[in-house]
Amino acid sequence: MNNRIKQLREQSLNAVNTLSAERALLVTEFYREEKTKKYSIPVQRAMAFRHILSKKAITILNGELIVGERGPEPKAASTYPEICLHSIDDLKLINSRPKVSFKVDEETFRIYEEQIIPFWKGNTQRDRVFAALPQEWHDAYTAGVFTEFQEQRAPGHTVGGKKLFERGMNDIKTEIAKLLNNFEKADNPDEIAKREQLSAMYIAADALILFANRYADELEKLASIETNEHRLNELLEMIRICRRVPANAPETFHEALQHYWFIHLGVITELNPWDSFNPGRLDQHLYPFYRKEIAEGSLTKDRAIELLQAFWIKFNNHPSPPKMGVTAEESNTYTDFALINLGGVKEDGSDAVNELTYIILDVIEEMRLLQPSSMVQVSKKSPQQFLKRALRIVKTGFGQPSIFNTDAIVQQLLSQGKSLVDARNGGASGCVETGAFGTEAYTLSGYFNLNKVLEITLYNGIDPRTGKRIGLETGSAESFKSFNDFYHAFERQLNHLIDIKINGNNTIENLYAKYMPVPFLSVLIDDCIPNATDYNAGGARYNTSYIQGVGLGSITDNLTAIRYWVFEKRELTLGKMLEMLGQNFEQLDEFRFKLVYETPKWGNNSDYADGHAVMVFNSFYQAVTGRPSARGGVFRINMLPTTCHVYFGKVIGAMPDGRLAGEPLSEGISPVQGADQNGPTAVLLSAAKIDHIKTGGTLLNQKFSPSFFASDEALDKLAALVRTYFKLDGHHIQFNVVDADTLRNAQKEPEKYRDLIVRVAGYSDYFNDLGEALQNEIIRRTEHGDV
Amino acid sequence: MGDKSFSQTQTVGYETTVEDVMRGIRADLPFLEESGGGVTLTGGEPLAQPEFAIELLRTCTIEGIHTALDTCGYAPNEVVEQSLPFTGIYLFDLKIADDKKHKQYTGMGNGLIFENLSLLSDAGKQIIIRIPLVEGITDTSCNIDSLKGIIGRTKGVSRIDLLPYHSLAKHKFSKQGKEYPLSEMENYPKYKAKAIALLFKGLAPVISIGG
Repeated sequence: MNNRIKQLREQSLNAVNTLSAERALLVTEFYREEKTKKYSIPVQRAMAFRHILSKKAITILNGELIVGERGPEPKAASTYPEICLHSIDDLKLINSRPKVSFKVDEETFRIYEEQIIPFWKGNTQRDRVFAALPQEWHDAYTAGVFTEFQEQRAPGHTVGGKKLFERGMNDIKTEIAKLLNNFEKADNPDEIAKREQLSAMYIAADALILFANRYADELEKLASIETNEHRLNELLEMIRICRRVPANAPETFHEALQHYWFIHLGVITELNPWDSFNPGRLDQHLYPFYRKEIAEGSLTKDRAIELLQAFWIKFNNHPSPPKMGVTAEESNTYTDFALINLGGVKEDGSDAVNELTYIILDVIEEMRLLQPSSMVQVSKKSPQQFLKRALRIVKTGFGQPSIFNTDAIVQQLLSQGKSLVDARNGGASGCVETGAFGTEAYTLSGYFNLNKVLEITLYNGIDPRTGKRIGLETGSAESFKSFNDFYHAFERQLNHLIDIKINGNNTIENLYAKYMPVPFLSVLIDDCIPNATDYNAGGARYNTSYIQGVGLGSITDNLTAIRYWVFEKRELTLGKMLEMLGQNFEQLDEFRFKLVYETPKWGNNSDYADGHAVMVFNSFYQAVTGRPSARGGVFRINMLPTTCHVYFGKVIGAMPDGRLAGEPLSEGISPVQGADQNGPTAVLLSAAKIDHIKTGGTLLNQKFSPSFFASDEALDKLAALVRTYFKLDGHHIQFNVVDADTLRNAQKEPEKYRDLIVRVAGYSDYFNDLGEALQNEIIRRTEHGDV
Repeated sequence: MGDKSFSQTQTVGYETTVEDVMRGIRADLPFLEESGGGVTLTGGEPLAQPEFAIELLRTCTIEGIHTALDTCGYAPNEVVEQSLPFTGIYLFDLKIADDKKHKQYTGMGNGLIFENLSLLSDAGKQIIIRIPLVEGITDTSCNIDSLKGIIGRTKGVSRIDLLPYHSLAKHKFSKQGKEYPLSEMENYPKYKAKAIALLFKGLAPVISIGG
């Protein structure tokens, strides 16, 4: 990378994460105005969006080629008091907590105390959500049966499609204006609602043009005092670009990147949607611009690389907004999950890898940044050198890119009823979530603690931590005559708790549809405009609501241990087992040893153990999939944890697999840490036994020491491993490549390892920013992978 | 589980049957087909359990699975002869050329080993020679020269793997409650291994360090 990029990158890496009151103040200013109340809710939202974009600070850093910051400076994170309000105590905690902190200055405290808190207290979306949910929901939520994604952040979980790069905001405004003609004489509530929604979308699309023009104005000021001719020419070109996009469709490579970046900022300024936003299939979207300009001679490969690097840095400047409580536990990271997709297939089904794919891979390797995250889509048609190039980057040990199976993704989307073209244009976002890019709202609604359901079943519907009734009375542990009896009770508890979750989700979806429309995001995703319906109200072509299952490995081993020792070997009764769990195996090493080392385990290709994974998976699938959602879509499952397996473990006592109270659960569909003893092929064979095509994504973590990547021959072997897993319909695989000693040293001397990035689960993170429990878990994982 | 702070001793290894092992191998067929790989018998010394080893090699061969046998070469000639039809590649250890010294360090002389090597050579088998590099014991110029002579007389050598000494076995000894006899020995230096690799040039198409 050249000096300019080096400096910008350093600046981004060294910037301290701060909490900025800028957005909160502007949104409060807007809603405080009496006249605001005259407008419909969607129009209010659009006007608030415009207000922020017309007033917020314009920040251009020295040497920048792509401009635009969400906050007043890099890593200054906005807050969204209309969604969730931080109290003074919250701010103190955010300011001082050891992990994922954001510095809060005195001025911000004062603004919060005097203006933000008095205005929003009791009037946030979070207040509405919690007030509307029934007691049984609160009980299950507090017990840690599930989490709720929309309590502090808005629904998002969507990715831009090809169209994003083919249209400008003016084209969008024209489309909306035409549709608005149909509603001139709107007189029934439905038509009025559509008219208001379209008006809001129009205002929002227009607001982004205004924002870009403010950047052009500021660039003009800078140009007027620029003495360096080279930089002056750059600034003049940037002024031209900011006046052109996003108002018009981009025509050059540079325009395309700046165009997307303004749109990205629009989405994450409007609200705080999960997974920020994402350009999706970046190598596909940018290739036409690249090819055209290279042919014309107006772009060189080096310049394209420099622009991409500048683009990468912009992502890294934007941490996820500050999270609190359970939301922080389930997703404890600065990463905001923009996952760049590379490779895959084209609309016609042919291999999509192109020259730019490899250039972007080079950029990923050289930039070595936490954000954006990146992945490669490998189809059976993908060239081997593409997969090996990706593995060579994986080897460098910062957890990127992760590797996905395009053929599985396409099958998943087809089985959900998407068209073939929409399926092939799809990919994975966030951690591993399958989606039809540009056309689908695939909201994640929260993690679901499968092992807590098991614990509650063992205690006849009671949460042993609190003595509170959470589930049904399905019989005491002693009352089960067979494993099937017991499993039947588990299934009843599962269905009951899933019902509570789904009912809660539908309540929340209705509240977002009514109170938190997102007119700007809606203009980006098909077919919100022709449907004249908001993204949050089911306006997208496809609407899916996911519940994410956590701890498949743990629950498999727990069920296996119960069947094996209680109902087959009959070494003890289930009641006696419960007693041991209650004692957290204290003085019971002998039996715990049997549970840990002499019981079949998930991840060893043992049909005996793996059968329970398939059982639980199918029960979970049947409980959720196809149930109607409030937005007019359906519920589906995926299997991923982010950091939630640590939180879910904290709320569960000792378990029959020998796990001690409070320890983390297994992550994704990976085996319990250290339980796989038969090598990677056995792990993959186990993992492939559940039907990945029925999910919207599964996460499998494989730990390898760097030696697995040592030679070209070794890479061929790893590539064969990946290809075979994908042949068996595996959805995703990721590799963690660091040795345990390095991690231990990092724990001792964190200051020396500030750039150490490890794969957590579906994303990478700075090792220093992980909680100690998670750090220890990753050390254990790694150790197991070593020699 | 991570913590293995249990008081009990742990059982390592288990008794099994050819059929059981074959079940595991067959499960891995999708991987073997993708990678073009096969099955390697290694150890310990697989030929210390000749009936089992040969039956396993035979079954794999019948089922079309490529086989390799990693051996120190110390086995009765008949056993090696029996393995011939069912073994694709031999990974064959050569340690010390001098019979007396071989006996001193390994407990046995090397006559039988050389007989078996020439038996493989005569049978036209593909052979990978594996030489552990232990400072002052196997890497003396005299020993290297003699080994080169032996390899030069052997047909079918497709690769020579030089295996620099490392102390990874240390924790295995301590796990078994045994004292590690080479605790003073340092890992074999990389540069020396590279220098020795040059000496073997021309004796096989591939000379690798670390195997």
